[in-house]
Amino acid sequence: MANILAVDDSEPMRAIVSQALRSGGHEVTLAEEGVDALEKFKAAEFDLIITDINMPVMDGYAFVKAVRAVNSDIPILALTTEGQESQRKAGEDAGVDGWIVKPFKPAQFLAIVKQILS
Amino acid sequence: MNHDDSIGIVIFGSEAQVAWCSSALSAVLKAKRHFVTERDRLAETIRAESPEIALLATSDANSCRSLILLCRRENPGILIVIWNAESGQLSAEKDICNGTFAIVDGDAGTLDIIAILKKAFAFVLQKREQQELQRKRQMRRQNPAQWLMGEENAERHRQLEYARSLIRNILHSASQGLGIGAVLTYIDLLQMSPAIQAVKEGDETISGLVKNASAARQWLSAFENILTGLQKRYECDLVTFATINAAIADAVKRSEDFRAIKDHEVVLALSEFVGAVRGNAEAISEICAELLLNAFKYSPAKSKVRVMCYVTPEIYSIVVVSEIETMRGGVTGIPAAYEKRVFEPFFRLNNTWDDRFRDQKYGLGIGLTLAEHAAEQCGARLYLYQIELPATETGVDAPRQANRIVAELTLQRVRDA
Repeated sequence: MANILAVDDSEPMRAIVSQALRSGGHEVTLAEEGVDALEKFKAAEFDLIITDINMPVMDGYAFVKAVRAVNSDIPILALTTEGQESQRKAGEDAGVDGWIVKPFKPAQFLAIVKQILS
Repeated sequence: MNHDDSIGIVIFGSEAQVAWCSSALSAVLKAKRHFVTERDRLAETIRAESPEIALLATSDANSCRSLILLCRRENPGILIVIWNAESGQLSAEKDICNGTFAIVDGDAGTLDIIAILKKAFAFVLQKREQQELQRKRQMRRQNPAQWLMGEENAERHRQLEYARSLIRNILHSASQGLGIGAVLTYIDLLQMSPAIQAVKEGDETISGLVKNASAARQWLSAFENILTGLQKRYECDLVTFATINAAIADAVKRSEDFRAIKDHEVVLALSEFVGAVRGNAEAISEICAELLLNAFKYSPAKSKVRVMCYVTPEIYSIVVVSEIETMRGGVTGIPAAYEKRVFEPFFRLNNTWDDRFRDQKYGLGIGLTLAEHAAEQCGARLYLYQIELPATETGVDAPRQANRIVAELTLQRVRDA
């Protein structure tokens, strides 16, 4: 199973994402915002990053750009409340591979994770 | 309302002064800023970009006069602010004072310059408002009908913007970490747990929770649909009558589930005309579907809903006529005073709620708002009103009420198309 870095500034959301991913058998490392996530990303090997977009200190777009500057291969999923096309486009431009709008259905979420990992 | 970002300002000075302005002003002024360091570029920028304000950094009186002349030549109405960073007193020069909005002399700090520019911005906004008022007054005198339509459109746009913000905020709140969104995801996680699956069938509380979670998701989807509807843009083009008839037929087909709820009879009386209107087939179909849904909801079971059309040299109208169901504890029909209000976002004429129509795309009293929004984008008008039919016409097939609700979509006909 995969080693996943999940980034979200909301504590309940981190708990939900973590629970959903662990129920799918994945290893999860949690981060609270972009800077925290970037440090954790540099310190370990991950198969997938799942990131919120609206976060304090460093938002999701900036975090994804920072990751893409050093790693163009790792798949990145955005998990966000933002459903607008313009924001999806901004995410794509930054280097996001997939976009999931909250609230998510765990089964669908795990299916997307599985698909992107394969 | 803050319109600073729509104001243009050209900033002229040495490279160092321009660089300083760029960093000092960027955080506080949202204007469209143009930085120039050469006189020729100053004239060009005023000509091409039409900024309303010019901030000229100069300390020499003669150079200042020549710059003012240059700005005035390009745009006599431009507001000029002089920034003199040296020790001399340009404000003592009477002719320069007369030709400018303000002079910031000597050891003025960043805050002084920002304060003066803020005043200049306020002045520009005030001037714009006065010009707009004057334009409206003139239009009101010359063409009262057009003025009234303009006022109605402006009010409608304010309402739509309000609705967009409200829905966006509700969706955001519901989807944030704590709240409905998290509850729904937790219920889904519960369902995935083998222990819960074993007891789910026999436990009314758990099955009730799951059922209501599904309804709550539907409710959130309705918000998403509304937001999409409010942001939807239709391209206006030429649409032939044959295409319109096909769009209406499509709306009738898509509304079949709602028609079946109260077993209505849809009577289509569409004629084959030659020609075209300005509009958009998808928008017309969406509007017709919304009008049909309303007709089904608010007319008696098993009654007829007629869809007709008529053409004049100027317009093509699609009309949906339905009978009126008497509402208990609410407003029956559409009294004249409510004819415009029914298009306001979230407005409900009565508090009756028919759970059989819960699968509708929007709900929340916004369907007609979206229909009118779509009509407006097609250059069309949407009307909803009540009429009383002559007794001879109502005696045979409509024993309940002589009144009818008429929903009318009026499209602009294009001649010789």
